[in-house]
Parts: sequence; structure tokens; C-alpha cells
Amino acid sequence: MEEELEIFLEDCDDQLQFMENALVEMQNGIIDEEAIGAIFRAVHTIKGSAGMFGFDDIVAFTHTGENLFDLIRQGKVEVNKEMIDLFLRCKDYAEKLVQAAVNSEELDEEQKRIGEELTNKLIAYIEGKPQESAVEVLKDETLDESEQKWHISLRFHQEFFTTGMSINSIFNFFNKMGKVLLKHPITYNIPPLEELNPIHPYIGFEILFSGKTTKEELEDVFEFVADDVDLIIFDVSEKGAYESLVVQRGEALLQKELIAASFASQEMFSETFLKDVSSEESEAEEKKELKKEIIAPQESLEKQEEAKKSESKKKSSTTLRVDSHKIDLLINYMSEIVITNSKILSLVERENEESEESSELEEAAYSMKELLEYVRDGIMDMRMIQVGDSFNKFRRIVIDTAKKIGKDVEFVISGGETELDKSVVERISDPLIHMLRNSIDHGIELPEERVAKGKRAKGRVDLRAYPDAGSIVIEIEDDGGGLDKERILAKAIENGVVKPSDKLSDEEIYKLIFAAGLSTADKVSDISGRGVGMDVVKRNIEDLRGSVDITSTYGVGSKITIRLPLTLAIIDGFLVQVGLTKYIIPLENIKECIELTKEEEAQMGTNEFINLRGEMLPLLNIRDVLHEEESISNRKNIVIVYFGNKYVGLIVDELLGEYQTVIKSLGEVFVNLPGISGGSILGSGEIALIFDVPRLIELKNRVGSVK
Amino acid sequence: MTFEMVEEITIYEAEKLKELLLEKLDDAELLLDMAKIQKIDIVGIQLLISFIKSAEARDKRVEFKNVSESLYEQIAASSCENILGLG
Repeated sequence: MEEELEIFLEDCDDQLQFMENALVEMQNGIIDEEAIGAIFRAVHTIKGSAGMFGFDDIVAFTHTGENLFDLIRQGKVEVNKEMIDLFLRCKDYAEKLVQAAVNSEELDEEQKRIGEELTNKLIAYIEGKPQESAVEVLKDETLDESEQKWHISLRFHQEFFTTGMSINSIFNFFNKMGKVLLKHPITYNIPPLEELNPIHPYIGFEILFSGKTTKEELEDVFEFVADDVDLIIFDVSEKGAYESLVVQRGEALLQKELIAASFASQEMFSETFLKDVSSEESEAEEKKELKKEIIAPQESLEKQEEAKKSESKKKSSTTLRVDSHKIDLLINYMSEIVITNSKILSLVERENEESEESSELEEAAYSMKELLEYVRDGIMDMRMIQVGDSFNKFRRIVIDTAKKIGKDVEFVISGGETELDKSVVERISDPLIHMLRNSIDHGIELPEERVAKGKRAKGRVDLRAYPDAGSIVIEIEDDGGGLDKERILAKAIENGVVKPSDKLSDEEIYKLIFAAGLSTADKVSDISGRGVGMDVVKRNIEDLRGSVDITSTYGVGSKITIRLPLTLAIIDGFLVQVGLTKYIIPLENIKECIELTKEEEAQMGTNEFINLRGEMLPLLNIRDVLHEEESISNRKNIVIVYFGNKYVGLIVDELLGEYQTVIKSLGEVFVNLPGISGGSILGSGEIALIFDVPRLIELKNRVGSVK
Repeated sequence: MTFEMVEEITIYEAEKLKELLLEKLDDAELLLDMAKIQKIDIVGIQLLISFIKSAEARDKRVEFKNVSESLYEQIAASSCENILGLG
């Protein structure tokens, strides 16, 4: 079942349970506003969600029930014992309707008859209300009074298309709730084909809607895709509403588009505003940031008022939805604070060197540092989301892909509760889809082939996530044919990726599938096999400071292991010095530090390894690799770093201690610098380079194999 | 040169179609025969708009022929008929 449908089912179950509880209370003679309100809300919510999915039967039935309850709520119809029994039956029937809709089944004749009977009884109560005409009049009045024009501005987050939610069903639902007066697609964000990722949404919509709905009801339409849409809804009669829409969207072309599609007129935008938007785009970007901040207080006031209004209506919720942009902004400021605080600390330390006495200033500076760490962790934690939601979206793709090529696959997700930075989750999703498709297309065999091999006809693909040593591991494992070493090697030699004389380990051979232009599939299929993609997958993962490994047993299956850092923005590092340059090593990669004594150095000779407690530890001399100057202190230390199951000792001069730091990109010029992932500004204003430990280890292995 | 499109232009074919359309961009005439298309979704519509943009960048015009009524309606449901030059 699709994730959205599951949520729908759960939600309906909850609402029906609320309804039943309230009805049972009523049976016991407790008929109060609260109980009636609860039932009304339950019916209304079910109707709303059913409409989203286009379950017209449920909408029609609940609509009748809602009407009756509206009358009861207004005191126009009085509840009696008979009615409560009827409602209980309606609840049972609604449950059946929901079940049938979710399983895409038809109700049988008997059920249909019951439905009709119940509907007729409900209508009889509605029509049998005492002041018949009065209500009719009232209905007309409310129609006039509450008919309102709303503007709905719709953009989609990267994942939207893969949720499987159809845009047309959203539009259809608008048509049911009221009237769509204008609907205009926003296409200027769609790039030319060369830059298009076809499954990412670039399109947007601007909609003018008229109906007797509240803003909340319109927002509820998007309840099931709330995380995947970027929604702005406002009352068009508000002054400056369109101006603020253009500002909030920050799209330079939006104003023109709104005017051209006759949502707004030129006059709706003030003269100064026009200048703003027509000025340089980069400038507009900056202003967008500023304006957002200015608008924010006003917005929050509105929200507060709204919240007050809905307080009596909605149950209080313990979660808060925050625009991820706001958190990004906080992290940015946080990064600056961390840098500034480092500077304060180093100033304090310098002061202390002279006085040799710990001052109050020092104390204050250190407790500040500690508090900042709490705040930082708190903010980082806000960005963490469970990977499960994202994983569940793959279900449909996996099942559909398998079906399309005639394979039968069981898709098992585990560790969905593992938390990862939101931006990492977003960026890992495409590579994962690609690898899952590969597993199904190349890995899992056709059912008959599997049976012939003595395997279960149904293949199995596992997607797992779990935390491990400061990073998150994601595994894709299939019980398919496994990788054919010989074929991969032959193909790689044919394509000139490796030389026939190269001696490669199994692991290295498997890794060749990530080399550009290598596809070992016999047939190029629709799904994969063009040999483009796996190299992109690897690059994407490496861009996230992650790594990817493959293990495989021919005939039994393969396992792809992806290792990702918890977050991208800030790292706890260890500051070292080589020559005149300072370097930062991510603390999560450090196992231990040892001194390299003169004796050991003498023992080592020209070997690039030492004997560490009986085991061989390969060494990498940073001075040689990065061509650093001679040591200024004459000291030598080894920092033992690891990634996954590989260890390397880095030879450096000075160990300067732990250092919390913000990663800054070095820009394109330094992209090819081996083993450096970024830079950071130290408190003293000096620049330190951050080591990319996985690459350093890879570098060591490469250098090693050449020798 | 006219070329025939597959039966569906949806999220499932999008990757493949993108490659196909990229190759076609070099053709002198971009006439797409839609006779066989039964189904298009928003992903497909977005892909076609992107195709048109790439064509325009090369000073070429894209034309669709044999658009069935049902297909037109699917496109019109998202109000994209004018952008695709079908309006």
C-alpha cells in the first residue's frame, strides 16, 4: 500500500474511533457540545481526506452526515436515541467504505443497499428539521457571506513526484470545494532538457479559488503531501497580498506572470516595488532575504490570530512545522557564532599566558562555549529527520519497476527510525533510487531463473539504515545473481579503465562498476544498463562526504554499503600542524594519536608503515603528499584515522587539540586537491584545511598499490 | 523529421524519454507525432516544456501532431495546453 494511503487509513481509523467514543458517551446520556463537535470534526476530516484521494463515495456519504451534524451543532435538530443508533450504524458503514476504497474494491449489493438506506435516513432527519424554510434561508445567507476568494500558490519540493500523489486529484478536489477561477502553470523554473532531472518538480501553479472555505480547509487538502509542497495561501482582498507573494517566492519573473495571467494588475504593486524586482537578480535575492525578515513579524501576528480562532476547533498538537529555510538561516548564524567564539577563546588564552591565572573572563568564555554547543546540537537536531518517510516513497518505484520487467520482488525496509540531516536525506534519495533499480534490473533474476537455481521465486531487496561510529550506514542488499567478477574485469580492461597487468582485489573489482562508462548488462534495458549513472551515484555520495562499498557473492547476492556523515555543516575536529599549515581532522575519524619517536623513525627507515602493538599500520606522510615545508618544531606525531574498517596513520608535526569548526567550501579551484574537503577560519583569522579522511585512505591505498 | 512517441509520457518513462529527446534536438524539424500516446502526467508535461525550451535555445520550433482529445484533456487539466502550443 502506498504510504499516503496508509496514512489516510490510519487517520480515518482514528477519526472513526473518536466518533464512536463520542457516540457511546451520548448513548449514556452525555450529550454536550463537545461530543457533537468531536463527531462533526471527525466526519469533516474524513470527508476532506477522502476528497484528496478522489474517493467520491466516501465524500458523498460523509457530506450528508456532515450536513446533519452541522444542523445539530446549530441547535436546529435535536439528537435522540434513535439518531445515535443510526450514527453508530453510519460509522460502521463508513469504516467499510474506507476499507473498500483503500483496497480499491467495490462494495457488494447488500452494502450498497445499506448505504442508500442510511443516506435516506440522514436526509430524512435533515429535511424533517423543525424550521425548514429558516434553514434554507440561512444556508443561502452563509453562502453569500462566506464565499471568499483565495489565492493558492503552489511549488513542489524535490520529492513530490515520487510520492505518487497526482496533481490532478488536488485540482479536482478544489473543483469540488468551490470554483477554480484561474489556474496558471509557472514554467520559468523548468530548465532546458540538458539540465533537467525529469523526476524533480520545477513546475509550479498559481490558482485563484472561490468558495466558502477557510484557509485551514484549503491547507488540509495538502495534508498528505504537506512535507513535499511549498504552499502559500492568502485572501486576495488583503492589501499588498500579491506584492508579498512575489517577495516570498523570490522569483523575479513571478510579478509579470501574475499580471499577464490576470491574477493581479500593475496597480497592485507599488512603484518602489517594481524597481526592486526589475533590478539585478542577485540583488533581488538579497532583498528577498531582508524582506522575508521584515514580513515575518506581520505574518506571525496573523498566524497568532488564526491560531486563536482555531484553538477551539482543533486539538492542540505537540509538533510544530517550521520552514526548513528558517533553520538553515539559524545554522548559518550559528556557524558565525562558533567562529567568533573560537576567536574569543584564543584571545582569552593569549591573555592568560601572560598572567598565568585563570580569569573570570576565561570562565565566562568557556561556559559560553559549552552553552553554544548545546544550542548548536539543538539546532542540528531540528534538521534531523527519520529516513523512513523517504524510504517508504521508494516502495512504489521498486514494485513498479519489478512489475514492469516481470520480476517478483519483496522490498523490506528496516531502520526507518534512523535520523539523518534533512539535506543529506534529500540528496541521497536519487542515488538510492538508482541503485535500487539496478538491484532489481541486474541483481534479481527472473522468477523462473530463480526457481531453476533453487531459490525462492520471489526475490528480496533490503533497504537498511543504522548509525555506526559517528556516521550513518545505508545498505541495499539483494538476493539476486551477484556480481560477476570476471565479466566486470573483462569489461573494464576492454574500456581501458584498468590494465590487464593490474592486480586487483575483489573489492576493487566490484568498485569498478562505479567507473564511468562501464555497464556489464547483456541487454541495455529501459531501467538501467547504459553505464551512465553509477559513476554519478558515487560522485553524489562523495559530495556528501560519504563513501560506498560493495560486497557480493556470485549467485547469492550483492550488498551495497553507503556510509554518510550525520551532518554537513559543522564538525568536531582535531587541529594539527604540518610545516606552516594547519589542518583539521574530523574527530569522528580519529582513533588515537601517538608520538613518533626518533627510535621508531629509525626503525621504520624507508618503510611506510610501523608496527603498532603487533599490527601493521600503513602511514601517510602529509608533508610529502601536500608538499609542506620543514617542521618548525622538530616533533613528529601520528594521528591514526579510520573510515569503515580501514586504518591509516597520518604523520604530522604538531598536535594542537580539539577544535569545533564550520566547514566552508574552498571553491572550484581546489576541487582536485587530494584529500581536502574544505577549509575553515580559525579564531586567530588563520585558515585551516579540513582533511577528507575517506579520500586520504583511498589515496594511501593507491600510492601503496603503485609501489 | 517526424518521430513517434511511445504510448505513455509519465514518470516511469521520463528518464528514457529525456535521453531520446536530447538526441532528437539536433534534427532540423521537431515534429512529434502523438497519435499513440494514451497517457501523460505532470512529469511528462514538464519534460515536454523543457524540450521546447531546449529547442527554442536552438532557434527551433516544436510541433505536436495527432493530439487526441483525451490527451488534450489530460494536458488541459494542468492548464498547460497553451504552453505546449495546443491551445
